[in-house]
Amino acid sequence: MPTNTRLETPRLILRRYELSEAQRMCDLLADGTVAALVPGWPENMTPEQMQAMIKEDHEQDEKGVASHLGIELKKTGELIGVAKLVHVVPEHKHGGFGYWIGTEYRSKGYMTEAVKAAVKHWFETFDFVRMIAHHMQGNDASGKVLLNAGFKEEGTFRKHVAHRGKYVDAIFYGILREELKY
Amino acid sequence: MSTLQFTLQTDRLVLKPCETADAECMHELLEDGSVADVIPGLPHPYSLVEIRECIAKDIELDLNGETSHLGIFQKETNQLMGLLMLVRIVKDHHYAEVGYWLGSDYRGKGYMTEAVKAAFKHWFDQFDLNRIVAHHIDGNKASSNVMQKLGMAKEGEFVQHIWHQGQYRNAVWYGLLKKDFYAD
Repeated sequence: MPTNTRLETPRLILRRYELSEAQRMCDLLADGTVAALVPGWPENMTPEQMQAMIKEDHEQDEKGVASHLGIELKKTGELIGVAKLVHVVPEHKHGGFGYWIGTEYRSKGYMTEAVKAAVKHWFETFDFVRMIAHHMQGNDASGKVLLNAGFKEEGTFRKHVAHRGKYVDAIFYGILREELKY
Repeated sequence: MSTLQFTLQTDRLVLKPCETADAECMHELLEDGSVADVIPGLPHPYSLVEIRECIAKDIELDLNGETSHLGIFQKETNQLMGLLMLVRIVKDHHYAEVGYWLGSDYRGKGYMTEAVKAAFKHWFDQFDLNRIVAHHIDGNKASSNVMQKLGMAKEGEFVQHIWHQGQYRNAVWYGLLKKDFYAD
């Protein structure tokens, strides 16, 4: 799978992120708001750990089992978040993805803009018939992004996720290729 | 080949890990294709050699603690009737996914509900689970009956989630929390 993907939307560019951007990623994640909402996300990553993770992301992308896209804000050229296809199931032609964005860039429609472009791209590149995503109960911002992008709620898995000493419900969403209106 | 040595008993059943020597019997159970019709990914036809290899692989995964496979045997006759398995144990979140099937001669007799109930009791403890999930493709009434009898709640329907026999089929998901299982 080529990893030189470059998608353009009115305000954003989606593209591979580089090892040199590890520090920027750490800065975006430093306030812990992403780790609070995304189960399993490591807290307080050092730039070295972040580099190791970026390397791993690149390797997966090259193998074609994932697709990690950095979200760059056009007007500053800076990375503001990530959209990542992490679960590719070729035999059923579906894929699952996740995303995050730095605190100060939220509620501006950036994530919806990025997710729409990424989802459209992944449908085409991986020949999916369906894509899915889920978030933890209470992460309404995440649900809104998916609904804005045309996803439908398909289920609530009770106490599905162990997060910070509690079991939390997971809300699942799906979209079919023919439902893609963008 | 060594297997995990343990046995669960119910009124009418014995549940225990299969051995490669059970391959022939399993081959007969699967031969009519009725199991492959409702379980995506199960090959059909499925040769004796492939089944033997699959059992050997399952034994290995079980020994590694990655899965748990239980043959369902009729107590009275010692006849293998089907299989019950934890196919995916997610230790981080304390949940696991269960799958099961019975040969067509043994359906509609309440065997599966009896087997799953005993297996759940064992698995909740053995793997320190808080929750067990299961899914079936749309229209598999027999499977949803088992899930409902066990007190599992329908938690979602994933549209066109599974490619099966030339069609995209919905996956219907059920879940059971440990506390609800023990409340019954």
